[in-house]
Amino acid sequence: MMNREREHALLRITAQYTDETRTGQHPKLGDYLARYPQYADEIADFVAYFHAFEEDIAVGGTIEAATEASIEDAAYPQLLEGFHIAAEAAIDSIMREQESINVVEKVRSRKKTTSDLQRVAEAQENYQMP
Amino acid sequence: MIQEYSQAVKDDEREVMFVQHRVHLARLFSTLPSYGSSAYWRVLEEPDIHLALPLEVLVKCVRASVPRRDKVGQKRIFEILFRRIATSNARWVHNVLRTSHLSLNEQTLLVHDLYADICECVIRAVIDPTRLFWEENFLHCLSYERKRVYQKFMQREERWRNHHNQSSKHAFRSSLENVDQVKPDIRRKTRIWMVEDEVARQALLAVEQNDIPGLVIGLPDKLKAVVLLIFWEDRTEKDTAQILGITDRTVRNRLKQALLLLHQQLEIEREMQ
Repeated sequence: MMNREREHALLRITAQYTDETRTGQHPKLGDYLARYPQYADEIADFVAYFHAFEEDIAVGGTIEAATEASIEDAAYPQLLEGFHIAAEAAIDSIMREQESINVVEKVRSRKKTTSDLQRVAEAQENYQMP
Repeated sequence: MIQEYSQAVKDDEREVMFVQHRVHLARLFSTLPSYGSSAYWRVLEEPDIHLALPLEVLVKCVRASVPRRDKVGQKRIFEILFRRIATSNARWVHNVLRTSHLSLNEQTLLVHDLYADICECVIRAVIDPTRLFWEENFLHCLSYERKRVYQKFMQREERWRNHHNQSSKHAFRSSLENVDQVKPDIRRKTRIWMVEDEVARQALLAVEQNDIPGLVIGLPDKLKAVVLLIFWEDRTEKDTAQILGITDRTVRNRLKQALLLLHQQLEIEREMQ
């Protein structure tokens, strides 16, 4: 599992690559690998994936994306419907999971508080005035 | 020297842009109406894409809901987020399906699994306050997450290693079909590399440049860079070795390994027919 700092650095570097690609600057993979040799494998991995699957996906929030979105809504109705169903299910599932974690934490916290109180009571009993 | 200087200038300009972008997002978030008010939800649920809040600000809103333990509010913001990225995800799934050559039933299962995985990954990433880049560039983080989902899914399904899968074809099949064919005409517009291995040279001449990224996804990480630099960026072995800080021999060995894997995969595909 990558540590957060490394992940952040990689995201920054690959975001720059994708920005440059999308703005028509034709960045060179070799330049990136030469500049960031410590991340060479990960950069090559992402670049291959990006050009295979992500390059033609419009970046949201732009006018072009909005136009494409309306076209694509018509083109992929079944895919979109499936996505909405999956999104709803995932949200519900993770909310339930979070609630379970909160309940477990509360129980543990209560047990800890009870045992702390018991220890204090015992300590008071055992304390003898000089 | 001049190149390094101009790169440093570009880096500084880029850093300034990052800071301005962060300041802009922070200002948008701080000027929102008070949390949970009707005005707050009106802003978050703005339907006009040109007026809607950036996705990065919505991430901040989710994270603001966590200490408030506002599950209903959190869910509502996630629904807004997913609605906004639905088309992008649908397009991505379409791109994945396009390369998979699966039967209809398998496609249906694949779509369901991909959506479920990406939704779960996005939710977990957004509620994790240590994943800071989601507050800077949401869509890029989404791309990264989709890559992970795609690769995990492919590994889980063992499509890259399953010799017994009779019903579906490998993702690279359409590209690999060209690998063994010796084309008399040179498809590439640039110079021919002189590589020791005759098979590798034939593969080099046969593979279409646009197919290269999809082809290398299944390769081990160490081999990807070599293949991309030589096949896709038209670099020489020497240049590749210099860029990666390895020897020429290592480049040739990695190239051989990569082509061997691709050939093996093609043989598996043929046996499955």
